[in-house]
Amino acid sequence: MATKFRDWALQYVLADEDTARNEIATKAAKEIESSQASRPVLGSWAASVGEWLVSSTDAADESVEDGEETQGSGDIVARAKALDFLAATLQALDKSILKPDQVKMLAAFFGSMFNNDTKAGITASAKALRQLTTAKNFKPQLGVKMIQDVCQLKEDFRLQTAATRLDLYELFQYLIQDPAVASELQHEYGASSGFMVDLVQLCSHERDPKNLMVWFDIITTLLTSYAPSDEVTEELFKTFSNYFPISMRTSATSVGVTADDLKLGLRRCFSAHQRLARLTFPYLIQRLDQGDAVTVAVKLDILKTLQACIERYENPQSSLVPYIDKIWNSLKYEVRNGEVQETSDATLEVLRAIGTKLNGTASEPLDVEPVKNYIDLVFGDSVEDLSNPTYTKQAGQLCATVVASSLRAFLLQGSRLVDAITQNIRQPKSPSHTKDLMFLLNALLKERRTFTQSVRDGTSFLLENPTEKDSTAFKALFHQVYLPLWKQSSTNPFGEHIGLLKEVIKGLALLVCQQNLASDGAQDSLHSAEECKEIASLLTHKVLEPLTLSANDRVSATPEVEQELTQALRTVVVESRCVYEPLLANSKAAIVARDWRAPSERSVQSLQEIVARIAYVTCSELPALKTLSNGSASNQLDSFVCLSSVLLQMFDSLLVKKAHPEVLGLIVAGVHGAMLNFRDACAPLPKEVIINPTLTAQGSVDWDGLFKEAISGTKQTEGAGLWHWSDLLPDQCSDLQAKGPRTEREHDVFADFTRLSLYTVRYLYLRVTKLTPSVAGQPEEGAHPAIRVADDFWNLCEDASFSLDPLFVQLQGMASLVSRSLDAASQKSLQLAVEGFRLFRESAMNGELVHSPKRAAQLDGLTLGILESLWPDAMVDLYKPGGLAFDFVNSYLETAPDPKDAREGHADAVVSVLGNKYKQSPHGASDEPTFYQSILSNAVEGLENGLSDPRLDQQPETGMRLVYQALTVFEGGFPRQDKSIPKYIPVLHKAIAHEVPRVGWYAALSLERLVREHPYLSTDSHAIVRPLYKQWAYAILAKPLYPSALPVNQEYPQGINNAMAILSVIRRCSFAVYGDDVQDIIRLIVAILQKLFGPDPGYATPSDAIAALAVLREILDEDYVALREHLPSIMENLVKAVARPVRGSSRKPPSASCRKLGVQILSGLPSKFEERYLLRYSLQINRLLAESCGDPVREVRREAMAARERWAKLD
Amino acid sequence: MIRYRNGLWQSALSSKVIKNHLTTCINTKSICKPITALRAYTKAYTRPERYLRLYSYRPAPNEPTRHRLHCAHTILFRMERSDLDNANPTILNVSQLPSRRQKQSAARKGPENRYDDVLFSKKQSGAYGFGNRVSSWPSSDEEDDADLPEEPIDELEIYDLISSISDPEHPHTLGQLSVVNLSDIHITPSPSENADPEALRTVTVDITPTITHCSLATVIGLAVRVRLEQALPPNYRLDIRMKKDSHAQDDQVNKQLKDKERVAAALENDTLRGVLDKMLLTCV
Repeated sequence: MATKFRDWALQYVLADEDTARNEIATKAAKEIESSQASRPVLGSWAASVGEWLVSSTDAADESVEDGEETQGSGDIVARAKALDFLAATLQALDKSILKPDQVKMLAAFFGSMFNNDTKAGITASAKALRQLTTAKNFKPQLGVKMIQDVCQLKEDFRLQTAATRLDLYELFQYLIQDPAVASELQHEYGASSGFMVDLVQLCSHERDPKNLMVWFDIITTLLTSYAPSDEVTEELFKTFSNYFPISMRTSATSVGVTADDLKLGLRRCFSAHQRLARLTFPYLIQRLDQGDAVTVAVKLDILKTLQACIERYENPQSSLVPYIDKIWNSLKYEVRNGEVQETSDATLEVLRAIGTKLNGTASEPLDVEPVKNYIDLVFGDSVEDLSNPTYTKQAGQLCATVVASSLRAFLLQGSRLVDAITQNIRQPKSPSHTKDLMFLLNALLKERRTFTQSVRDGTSFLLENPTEKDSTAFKALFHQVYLPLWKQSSTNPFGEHIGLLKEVIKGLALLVCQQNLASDGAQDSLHSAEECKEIASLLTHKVLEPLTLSANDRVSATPEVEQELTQALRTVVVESRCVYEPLLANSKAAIVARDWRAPSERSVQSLQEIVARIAYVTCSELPALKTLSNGSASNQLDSFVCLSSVLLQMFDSLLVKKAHPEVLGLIVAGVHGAMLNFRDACAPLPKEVIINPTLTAQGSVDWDGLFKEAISGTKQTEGAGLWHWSDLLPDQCSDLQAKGPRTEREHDVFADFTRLSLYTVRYLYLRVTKLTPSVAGQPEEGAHPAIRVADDFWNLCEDASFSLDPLFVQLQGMASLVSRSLDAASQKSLQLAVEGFRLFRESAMNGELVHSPKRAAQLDGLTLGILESLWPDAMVDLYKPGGLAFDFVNSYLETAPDPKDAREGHADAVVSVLGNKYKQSPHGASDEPTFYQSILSNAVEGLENGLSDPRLDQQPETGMRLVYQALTVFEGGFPRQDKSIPKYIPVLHKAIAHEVPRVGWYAALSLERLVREHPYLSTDSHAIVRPLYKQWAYAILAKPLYPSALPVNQEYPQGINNAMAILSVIRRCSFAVYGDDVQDIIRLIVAILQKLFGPDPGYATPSDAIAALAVLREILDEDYVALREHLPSIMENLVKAVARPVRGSSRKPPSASCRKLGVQILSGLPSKFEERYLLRYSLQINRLLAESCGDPVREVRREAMAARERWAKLD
Repeated sequence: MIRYRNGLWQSALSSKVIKNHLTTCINTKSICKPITALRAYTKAYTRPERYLRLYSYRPAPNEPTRHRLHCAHTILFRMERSDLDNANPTILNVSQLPSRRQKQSAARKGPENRYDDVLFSKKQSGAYGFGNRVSSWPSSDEEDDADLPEEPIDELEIYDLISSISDPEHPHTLGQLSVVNLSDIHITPSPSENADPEALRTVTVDITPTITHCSLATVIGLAVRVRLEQALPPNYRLDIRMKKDSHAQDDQVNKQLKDKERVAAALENDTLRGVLDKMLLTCV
């Protein structure tokens, strides 16, 4: 047995790898375990390392005598390893196997190493002792003995490696945290805690960051869990305070401890126990008062440590109160005279912590006297400073901080501070002085608001502390301070008064949000309803100034004040409902009262500002859920219901007064804006809302049911008096009942909001249309019922020759927004695809729904509004043979071409959308032509027939119209790369090379439509867009034209058309698409520019050069080297694109866009090409750009100035 | 960074920051009179009490020494700054200056305006009409002629060009210091009177130095001239002069600014050119 252990020990000593050593140790441990730790086995195990111990002792003695250190050090390593064998075995050994006497014996053995073998034995002994402490039969007395043993190391402790010391620190940490050992230590040493002194002496020179962290922990434990005498406490304090302020050298290798960790560890020591207070506070204050020797970082460390001590020390009466004077006297200057924001903030935190600590906890409030004295102390030094503009802000911060440190402090002295501020406001030194004081007052109001929000129940505390003084002081503020200052600063503020006005506005909003603190816990508004309304009307009046004041009276209106006003109103509206009504009432009155029949641009601009602001103020934040007095829950949709209904009422009133459609459009924009803001307020949004409407007996959607579901619960008793949809639709709202308890999930609010938005869209669609067999009073015999623009709008259009576009565009945008938030299934169940055509008029189903010359173009816009946001799946029903989609497109294609009809392109967009979102029905036969194939073949057939008409020469417009219509049908198919397109491309190419030059030129120019990114054909609008469709389009549209486009010459006039067609396509593509053909393209560009700016441009205008110039700019950015060869001809043409023609010349002047592009290209040249390529043009271009600096268009002048600067550098 | 505000060096309390700043000033020969400032700083720190007494500063009884030191050198900095031509000029806030560019951007920056592009975009209507496409190139977002209205050069545009020039002495622009004012800029004949873009016009700019004995008035005038020459077309003549009675030697300065030879010679002076370039750096 003994041999076995000796062998293992030898192997362990000789082994180099940890794994091998661990295996050996495990083997030894198993051997001991198998013998149940019998005395002989354990004896042989312990004796197995005897050989190293004995020989080494001799060798060591000899080496000391002979001075042969080398031999000795080799033995030390072996001896250390041998001892480590024992420690490793203990580590692997079952903790319960050793008997008490064995544990004791081993502890004594390893403990003796600290005295006998300081060179080799420490590491292994530390490890072994650490293992023994976890043994089952470990006795607390052994722990005490271990500490004594280790302390014998004394000076040798410092010589150990950091890792060994760490083991010992961990041993200490374990022992002193063990309750049994702790109680044994107390018993052994009593109050004198002598072992701590030994520990301090042993460890006081530690510098390793990792070890320091454990050492700080040990000190913290000693201070918190033991009760050392004052002398020992002082010793401990000296030990850790010597490290303050602690920092760390930066090291290339990571040590796993940061300087911040060390700071926190040290801070924990300082704040460990209140018995340190008498040492800590004087020490830290003395460090702080060292003057400039203290850097900002150290100062921050001191302040944070102070704060931690104040917060963690218990019994503030004895641990804090005696030092408050000292702390205050040192700290006040940090804020009063300090200029570094961080230290000032940290100081205020310390002062706040003192106030909070003196208040005690909610369950154990402290005596009121210390708080009072503390505040008196701070006020005594600071209140006078309020009258000195240099120190007002700082003094105010100090006072506000201590007052706001607890509710009790606030109730005790808040009113006193308010009085002091009010007095100073009455005797202001300057506007900025008043501003600082107002800032302070606002800070107090904010704190008060936070306190009232946090006091949920009427605590006994409130009963003890009367709140009348507080209420009186704050209640008086409106009339004593805010109202006079408002009157003084709100009219034409300038300079410093602007800042003051901003503070006043902020304060007014905070006043409305104040609540009474009542001892019974009830919270009601501090100000009466009349006062709130007065404040609301002040703010509203200011908001409405753009409408009520003339431009001259509003010269001083600054964006800053307006933004403050907006934010103030927003805060007020969310907090208090009593402001909502005056805001909307005043706005409505002010807007409706004006004559909007022929508004000036400024009036329209003002209305736009106001509408946007009201929508933001009322709907950008959800009001908090409250329980109303009738027991029901408030509805978060209230604000939107109220605003949308009041705007719709305004819409009606303005329509009666024959307001300009632009104004009506702005009112609708208000509803639209409210929807957008409300959507944001509901964030995070569900991706799409699912709405399953109930259907009527006829199979149509029960819109009234949907509406009721959305707004039930919004008409509560407390909301009475506010506007509601019941004013608009009394019948539908007559039997509204409050919903049961509402869930608080925002998702629900959003679904209701979407329902109401949808209903609003329907309401407005119905409002602007009518169902009639006649148009504008002209009876049509035998006609089906048709949808037309409602009379009152049509008359507006006819009588005053206003365009209805602005109104209908708003409606279209709103419809698009609402239908986009629904998923495909909901869109389908709501039958939105059909509604897009019948515009929510169910009885029109059999009537004329399709595009026709008699139908106002705006109605097509309304159709587009709904269709452009639908999922293809929701539109399947439209594509049935003979369905609405067929009818609409056929009617569109059959419409007699009328080039003079400059109608809006909504019908075109609808056709494109229909062509794009078509999905083949799974039930359709595969050999039948699809919807898209049929409409495309119809369009192409029409085009072919039209182009072969010999009369086209006299009426080229007819041909152009046909090209336009055909391209509209193509437009929808290109993004989806429809397979039926390629076979019809030759017809387009034929149109481009048409013998009637104007038709061909027009077709070439218009080709860009097919690759242009239209908003209604984007993925956002759920259109089908293939990622590489532009490459595809380039390959089938432009590529085949290259051979016939070059060379461009007189003999072949169609060549120029082909060149133009190529450029118009690639203009809408990225460089990557056409980069391979760049050389050919540059030749085309030069040819086109020469033609357009040449002596005979024919029917083309210089503006047609935009495509060529745009492509040129793109090439300059992406591959300028390709341009180098062509530089002379490019420069020649660029000059023509920018310069005004000389007087008397027949050349048409280039358009502004053309000039701008030309200058932009010129501006880009110097950064791309070396000087040698450009110097020869320098003189000419400098002169040209100098002239362009006088261009009539400001944008061109700006570009020219930048270009001139770049070209000037060439010289 | 140390900032100069209301005639007072606002500095961090740390002496290191001040020393670093002063060293930079000395190295770059910047405008803050580094040597005198450094001297003041040293004096203040060696004998603070003396200077405090000198300027009747009464520290609070418990006020630590570091605050006395700080106040002393603050006072001395203020004193040393007073040897600038005008140590304490009136400075306007940038947002208060008339400007076409800022008005446009400032008007649309509130949160309530975040959807203006969606709600009030003028492009919403009539973007796809057939009629729009027959005679000219189909419009695009950036190259629409309707977006490029003709607006002749006016006084505000001239003001925008020169108000952003930096003052050679203070870290503010000429607009902020009211050295150039919109009301002191005149274009004759007025841009609206004559539609001919090639007609000769004269731009007159009256400069108001912050004090009547400003030694840098010529440099400021020169900078305004250089800026306008770089930005205006050749048919614009320039007349840059001191506003009447705003400068003690306005006749001489005006003469100097009108003299083409002397202007050309000044521009060939490397030091002066360097100053001008620095002044024009802030122009946008």
